[in-house]
Amino acid sequence: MEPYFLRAALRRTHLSFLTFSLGLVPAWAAEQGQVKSPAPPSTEMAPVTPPELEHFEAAAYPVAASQAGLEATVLLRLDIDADGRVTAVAVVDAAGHGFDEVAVQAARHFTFKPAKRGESAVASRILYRYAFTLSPKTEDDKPRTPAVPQTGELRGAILGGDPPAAIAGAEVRAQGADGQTVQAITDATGLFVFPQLPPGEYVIRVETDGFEPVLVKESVDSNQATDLKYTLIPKQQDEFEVTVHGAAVHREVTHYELSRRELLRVPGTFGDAVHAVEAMPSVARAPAFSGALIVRGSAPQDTQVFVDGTLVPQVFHYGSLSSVVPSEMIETLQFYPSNFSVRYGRGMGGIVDLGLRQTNVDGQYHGSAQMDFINLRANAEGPIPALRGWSFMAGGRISYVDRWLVPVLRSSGSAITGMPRYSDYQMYLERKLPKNGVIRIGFFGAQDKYVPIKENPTDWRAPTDAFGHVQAIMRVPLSTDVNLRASWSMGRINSSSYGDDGRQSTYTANLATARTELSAATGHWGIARVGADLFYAPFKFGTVTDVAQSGGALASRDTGAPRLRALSLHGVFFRPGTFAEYEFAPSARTNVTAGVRLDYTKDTSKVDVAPRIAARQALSNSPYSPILKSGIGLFYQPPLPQQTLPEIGNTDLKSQRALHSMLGVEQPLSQQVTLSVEAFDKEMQNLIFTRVDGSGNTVTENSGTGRAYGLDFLLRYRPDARFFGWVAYTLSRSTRQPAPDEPSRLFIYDETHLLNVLGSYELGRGWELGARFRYMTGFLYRACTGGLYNNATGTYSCYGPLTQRRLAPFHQLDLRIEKTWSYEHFKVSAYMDVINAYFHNSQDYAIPNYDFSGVKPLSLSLPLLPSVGVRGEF
Amino acid sequence: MRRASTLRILLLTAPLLPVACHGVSWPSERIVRSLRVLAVQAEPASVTPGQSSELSLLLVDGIDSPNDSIDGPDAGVNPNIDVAWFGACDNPPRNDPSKCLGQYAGWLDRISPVLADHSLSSTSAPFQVAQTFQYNAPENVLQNEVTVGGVTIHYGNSYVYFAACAGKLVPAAGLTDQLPVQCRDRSSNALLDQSRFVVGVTTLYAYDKILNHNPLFPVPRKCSGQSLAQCAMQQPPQYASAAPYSGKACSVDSDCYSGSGSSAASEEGGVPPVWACASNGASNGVCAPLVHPCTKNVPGSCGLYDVGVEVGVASFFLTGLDETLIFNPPKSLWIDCYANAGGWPDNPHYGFSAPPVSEFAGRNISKPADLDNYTAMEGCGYWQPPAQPTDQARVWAVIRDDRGGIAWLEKRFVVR
Repeated sequence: MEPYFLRAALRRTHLSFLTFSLGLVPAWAAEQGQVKSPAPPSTEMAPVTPPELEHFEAAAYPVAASQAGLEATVLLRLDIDADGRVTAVAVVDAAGHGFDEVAVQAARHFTFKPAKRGESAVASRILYRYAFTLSPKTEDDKPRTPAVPQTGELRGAILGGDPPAAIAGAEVRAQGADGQTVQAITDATGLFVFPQLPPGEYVIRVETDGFEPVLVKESVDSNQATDLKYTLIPKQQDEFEVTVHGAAVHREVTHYELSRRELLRVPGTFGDAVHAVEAMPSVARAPAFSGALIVRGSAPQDTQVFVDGTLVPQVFHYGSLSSVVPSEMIETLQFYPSNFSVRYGRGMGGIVDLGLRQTNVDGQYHGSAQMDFINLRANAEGPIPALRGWSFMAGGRISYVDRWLVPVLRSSGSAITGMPRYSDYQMYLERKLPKNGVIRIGFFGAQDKYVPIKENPTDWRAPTDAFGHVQAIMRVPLSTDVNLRASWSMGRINSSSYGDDGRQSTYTANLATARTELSAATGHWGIARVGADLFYAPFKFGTVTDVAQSGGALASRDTGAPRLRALSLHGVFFRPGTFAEYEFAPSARTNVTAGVRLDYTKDTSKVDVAPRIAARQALSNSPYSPILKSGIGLFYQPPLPQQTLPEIGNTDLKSQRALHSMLGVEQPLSQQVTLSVEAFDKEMQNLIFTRVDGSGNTVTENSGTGRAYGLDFLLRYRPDARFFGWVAYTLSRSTRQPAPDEPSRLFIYDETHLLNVLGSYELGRGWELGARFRYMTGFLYRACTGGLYNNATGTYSCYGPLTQRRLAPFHQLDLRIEKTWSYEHFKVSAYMDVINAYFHNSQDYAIPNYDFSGVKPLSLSLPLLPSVGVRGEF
Repeated sequence: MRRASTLRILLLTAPLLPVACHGVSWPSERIVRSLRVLAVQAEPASVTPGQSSELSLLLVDGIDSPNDSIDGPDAGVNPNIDVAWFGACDNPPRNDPSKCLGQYAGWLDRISPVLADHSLSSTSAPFQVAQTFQYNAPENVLQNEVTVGGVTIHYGNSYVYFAACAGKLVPAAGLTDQLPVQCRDRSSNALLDQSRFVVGVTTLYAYDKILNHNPLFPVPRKCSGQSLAQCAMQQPPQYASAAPYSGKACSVDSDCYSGSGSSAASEEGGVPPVWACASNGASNGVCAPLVHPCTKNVPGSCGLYDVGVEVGVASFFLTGLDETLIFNPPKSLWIDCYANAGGWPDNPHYGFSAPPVSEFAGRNISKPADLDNYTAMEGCGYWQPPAQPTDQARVWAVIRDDRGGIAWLEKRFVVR
């Protein structure tokens, strides 16, 4: 989202010719929490005069962006020395598509009249808004030359204060290229107007007592009115330098975002973006190869993964070596461990939302390919000659680890019975729309299976999974203040699995999802959002199950008897949802988001109402001010599909519910380093538990409760030119009570201590070295006093009082080294990811013997595993 | 209890789990190397309110069977093994028998004297110390009902806990999640572990309109000599005179049948043609099939013997109180096999195929006896003899149905 004060600074620009316009925006008008650096000790306060632009260097409009009809605004941070020269340029708010690079290049050639304190020239730091606007280029598209001289109009509003209010009597001057200056004074409502200005560029200067001046360059087009709106910041007496701090406000108070560079280079992840989440706070270690995401004491199925708004049924391929979406296609990863917005529903754990990268629009074709011991993945992108303005991005991956490892395992007589084989594919067509809008149509999918180690096994039973989605995404600014964001998808899931008794189940579903969100700025302080979120899935489910348990008969679940029944069920899962949210920023330091979400679950015939609220409060305007965060809300999660199916589930189930609450503080320590601490709590009710009664019948019911609480610490160094890294530590406890008459116990995924320390440093000359160390509390297992022999089945179950013990703690060091050779048109990288560098034999499972009289740890951890890969890009 | 996702995680990673290259290897549960209860039989298999049923154990002590060398394990009643029974667990809450454990902690006053003097045990009491247990169904045991084929059947679920100790059972206070007894060595009074102490529970069903019967074995027939499944496992001693089996008492191998072939298994899965006297050091033994030790460094020595059981088809059907067969729905039957020596390359746990009822159509079949000529056979895999010679190798086959019916067979082998 954009903070309201930045949004207020945006102006509506009307098309004219191909023009560039330069905006000079005080830093405070662009970001929240921005503050200036403290001035050097001085007892004498002299007035500060901001720098003035003397020489403007026009940037070359990116050709492809021009052809694609793209416009953009790049917010730059300029360091200006006491001589008025630009000494450093940084992109604060990037636009992509080549705009950033040309804007930076141009800004380096700007010259200024230096800022002054009193009569002394001083260094300064300011923000520039470099706007690229576009107009029809063909002769036919140009407006006809009028018979009379044409003029345009500049008009707008001046606001200031906290909260912002109209400023009357402010002086607004517009200086044209010919040096002519016109002047206006704002009226009682803060409005001003320059009714008839010759077309061209004007430097706008706004001054009034008690506020910092604003210096902005704007364009006036023939027969067009340009609306302006500026928010002034109260003048600070002790400043001479303006510094931007912090990222844009995010509506979620608990939120971590990983950039593309981080996603690709977290050591120990094979460059897989989603695995990088596992190094964030709140994420517990999952059982080896499971691919589960265990977030803040929640069960794996409580956390959902989206790709640009579409729920992904399976995020990792089998074996959890790779995610189903190649990292090369991911731009950002948003991770919400709790207290997420009402736009997300049907889950009470966390949210991972993968933002796909937009296609490159420089008019060239690009691609990359990466090959390592496990798989080959490749992607390509570029313009579509036959479709002007459209570009494409396509990718795919195929694994081959089984092709070389299976023969090895076969010859070595390994106990492994199967190896995963998988593939995935992605294809998108994309068209950029004006005002950063975009429309994208494409498809993606994946296939997974296991390949048997034995040759021609007669009893091979292994799961298979496949899914495919067609997806359309649209982000359109309907007006300056109204945005539409929508995603639709249709897809199919085919899944086959075998129970521990060897029975096969098949699941086929045709999925349709639709998510539409409309956001509108309301006044100066708020944004309202409403949306709909639809899930529709006709399904077929086939399984072999026990005959419905007639009274007084043992279920055949454990009998091995073939008197089973093939069950074929079909139906429709229909789960519509709607949400409304209002984000309110009564001051530059305060942000409150409140919303409510309604979800209907057809298979349970229940409606869930989930109100949520979250707030941020900066304690001061200093860039290093602590920011307090808090949130509370209800989160519902309907039963898993199979849990409500007649005959094998319970049609009387209702949604599980969790009350999330959190309180935290974020303390910026420098421009790159931030320390955040969050306390969280999840109170869970109506948890669905499955138990086996004395007759062997499976009973599924909303009998459980649970709680997860803890503290997250994150000391993070955001990526700069050389380094990124973080120290993440979570102290947590998660408990479950399966039924009111049973004792509360630690949740099976409870892990008290979660520590991740990682960093990656560019050594220069194309070398980058990274390391990650992890320490986590050992997995829990139920320690049985002994075994209870059940004569009805001939098997044993755990006997005696409930006691839980832990396996040995997990710790592991992963290393990554990468060397990149850059050439004019392509780059080649070679990397080595070393998993478990000091070969710690961690424990993953506790395996009891048949009568529970003993238990042995089972290690599935990978041994010292160097994975060497090569990547080429052009 | 478990969460469904946990199970799915395990299932999805199942082919990789054996990556347990760091080695988790437990001995097979199908090889008896400790004190084990392999089965508990209630006779009758189901009861009506107020009716009694006697529970007996298939109790095997294999603790003296290190590796593949067998020296005297025995099955059945063993006076040196204390057995205690805990009843009064009828229709527990949520059909969960563990809910009954709490009440037993309050029985210490009646448990202690009986454990000290077994003769005080009464067959009418819910706590008994004896090799068998007399279960007496309460009059109000039928607390549940279900409609099957338009007929409403009232039923009750009852559970009986038992503890078997290769030592002496002593009372233990303060145990609310376990039976209030401990197992101690008779001489040292040391606490014995699970290898000498078995705790279990068995289910008893009570009905108002139907009866269940334990699995039936067919009337003795002449052994066809095709496989252990058809012959060796269930050749009853009284049929000993039929060749090739001789069940008569023997003192030397020559007393037993000796076929014309070699002295070892001639074909995989076939009945060994040579029978030897399993004397067990006593003056008289019994004739038993003679098999080769399975020595892996001797090529071809490891014969695999097909083990299975033939049951009467009547085993699949409930009856009415008047013993009229009820063909629908049939019961499930399955077989588990165990041995005190050797091994089972596959898990010997298989279900019987239910007989097609249509075969009986038009044959005026209404009573179990009408089905005497119909049998169903199921194997439970191949048994591999041990590497060490022994006269005491034994194989057990336990047949269960899904309404608490149970029966078993035992066979001894000579491994030389």
